[in-house]
Amino acid sequence: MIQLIINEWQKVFSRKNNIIIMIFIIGIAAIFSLMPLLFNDDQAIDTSTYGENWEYEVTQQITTLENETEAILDQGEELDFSQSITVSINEDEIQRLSYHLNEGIEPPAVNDFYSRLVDASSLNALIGIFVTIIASAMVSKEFSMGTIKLLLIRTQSRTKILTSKYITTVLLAFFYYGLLYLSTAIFALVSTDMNPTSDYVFMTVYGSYEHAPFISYFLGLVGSNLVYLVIIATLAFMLSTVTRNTSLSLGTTLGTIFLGTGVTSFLATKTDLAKYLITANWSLENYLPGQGAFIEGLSLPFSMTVIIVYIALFLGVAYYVFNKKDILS
Amino acid sequence: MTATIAINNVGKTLNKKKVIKDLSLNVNAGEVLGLLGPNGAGKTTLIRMIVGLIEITEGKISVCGNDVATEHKEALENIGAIVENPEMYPFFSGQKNLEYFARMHTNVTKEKIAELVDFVGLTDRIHDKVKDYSLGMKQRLGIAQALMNDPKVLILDEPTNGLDPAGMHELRRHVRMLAKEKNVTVIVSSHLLSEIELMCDRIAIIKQGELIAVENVKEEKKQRYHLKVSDIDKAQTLLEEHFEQSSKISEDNLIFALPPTLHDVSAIVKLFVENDIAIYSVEPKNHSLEDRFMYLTQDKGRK
Repeated sequence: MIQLIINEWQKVFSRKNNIIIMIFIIGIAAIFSLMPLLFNDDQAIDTSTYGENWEYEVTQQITTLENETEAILDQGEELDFSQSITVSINEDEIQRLSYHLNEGIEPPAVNDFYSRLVDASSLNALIGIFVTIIASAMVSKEFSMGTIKLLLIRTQSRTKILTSKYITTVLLAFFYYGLLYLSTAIFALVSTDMNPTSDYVFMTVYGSYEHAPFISYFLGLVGSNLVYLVIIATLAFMLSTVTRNTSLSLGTTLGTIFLGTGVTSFLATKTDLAKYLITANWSLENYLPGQGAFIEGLSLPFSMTVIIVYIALFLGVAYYVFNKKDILS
Repeated sequence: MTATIAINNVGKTLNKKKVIKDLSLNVNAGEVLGLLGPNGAGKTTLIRMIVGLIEITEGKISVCGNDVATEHKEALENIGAIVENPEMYPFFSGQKNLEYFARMHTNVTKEKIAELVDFVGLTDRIHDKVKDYSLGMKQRLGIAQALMNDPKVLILDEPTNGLDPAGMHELRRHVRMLAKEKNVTVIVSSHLLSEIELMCDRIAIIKQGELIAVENVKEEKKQRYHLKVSDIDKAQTLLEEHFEQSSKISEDNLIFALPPTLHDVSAIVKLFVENDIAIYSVEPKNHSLEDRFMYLTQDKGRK
C-alpha cells in the first residue's frame, strides 16, 4: 500500500500544476504577510510594544483615545465621514484595551503574530480550490491518459488502488494547508511582533471581547479547516471517480464551494431540512468560541455526524462505481 | 493437462448488445496464438475479459488454473499485458515508468529492470521522457512493462500498430524467443494476417464476436501455384509421375501446392516444356490461409 501511495505522490509531484499551486500558496502567504509593510500603513509600522508597566501605559492610551473622541464630539457640528470613522474606531479600541486591563492580559502590538496566523485561515477556501484541482483529476486523468488499464491489470485490487489515491488526495490537502501555514508563520516572524502572553483576545460575533489560550483556539481552527478540506477533497474525488471527467468534477466542486453557503442560507429560510445539507455543516469554525451557529439549531455533534455520513456516502459511491465498472477507455 | 488459458463458453453483453457470443478456446503452454479479426470483431473485448478489465457476462475464463473473475489476484500474477495502445505516463521517463510499475509488483529488482530495458533495446533512450518517444519505442517500453513479473502468459493487443518493418521483425523475434525458451504462452491480436502469421503457431479468427475458425499456421507453409497449360490432363499425369505431386483442376487452371523444399517451380516448367505442353502462365498464389481469412471475414459480412 505504501508503494502505491509513493507512486501516486510521485505522479502528483511531476505534474506542472502542482508546482504552480505550491508557488501560488507561498506567494499568497508572502503577499498576505508583507502587504501591510509595503503599503506603509501607520498601524503596520507601529511596532510599539508595552513595557514593564503596561497597565499604566494602557490606562494612559485609553485616556488619550477618550479625549480625542470627546474633542470631536464637543465640536457640536455634524460629524464628517472621517470623524465618525475615528470615533467608532476609538470606541472599539477603548473597549478592547479595557478588556485587556480588566482581565489582566498584556495587549499585543498592533501587528501581532497570533492574529496573523488566525487571519490566514481565511485563505483556506483558496487551498480548497487547489485541492479540488488535484482531486478532480485524481482518477479521471488515468482514464483520459489510458493508463488506468496498466494499473488494473496488476495483482493489486481495485479497492486498494482507489484507497491509495484517496489517501494521497487527503495527504496532499494537508500538505498544501501545512505549506500555507508554514510560509505564513515564517513571513509573520519577520513582519509581526510576538505576543507577550499565551492568551488570545478576540471579538465575538456579538461585538464583545473574549479570550482563550491561543494554542487551543488555533488548534480548533486548524482542525475545522482540515475537516473542510477533507470534505472538499472527498467530493471532488468521488465525482472524478464516478464521472471520469476532470472538468465536470472540477466545475461541480468549485460551484459547491462558491455557491454552497449562499444557497444553503437561502434554503434555510424556506425549510428546516437545509440543516441536513453538507454545506450547512462543513464550517466547523462556527463552533469555535465567539462564533455563532450558521443555522439556528445546529450543534457541533450534529454537524460532525452529518459530515461523517456524507463522507461515508461519497466514498461508498466512489468505491462501488470503481469496482463495478468495465474499463473500456 | 489443462490449458494455460481456458476460455469456456464466454459471452459479453455491452449496452444490451452481444459483443462476444459463446466463445470457447484453449491455449497451451508455450504456444503463440494469433487473434485475428476485422476491427470491431471483439478481439480487444476478449482480451479485456482475460485480464479482468471488464466483467464476464457468461461463461468462465481461467488462466493457469485460476478463474479470472473469482481468483483475480492469482490469475493476474501470471499475466503480462499490453491492452490497445501502450499508454505510459508521458511526464515520466521510460525508466521512471518502469520503476513505477515495478512498485506495483513484489520482487522486481533494479537489475531486472535494466535487463528488460536491454532486452527491448531501449537502453539509450530510457531516461528520456515518454512523451518524446515514438510509437514504436512506446510499444517496446510496453513490452518491457508486460514482462516485468516474469509472466507465464503474455497478451499483446495490436502490438504491430506503429511499428516499422524492422520493429516488427524484432517483435517477432522476441515473441518466438519467449515462447520457445521461456515457455511463455502468448496471445497476439491483429486485424492484419500478414503481420502476425510468422510469429503464431495457431490463428483464431473472430468475426462479430464469434470464433469462426482456428487455423494451424505450420500446415499452411506451402506455396500454391496456378498454371494455365495447353494439355491440362497430360500435365497432371506428368506431375504425378515425376514429382509425386498431387494437383487439382479448376477453371482451366492446374493448381498444386509445393512444400518449401520444392520451391523451385522451374523444374516443373522444364518438364512440361520437354513434353510439348505449352505454358501460358505460371502464377504463384497467396497461400490459402489468407484466402480463407478473406473469405471468412468478408463474405459473411456482406450477407
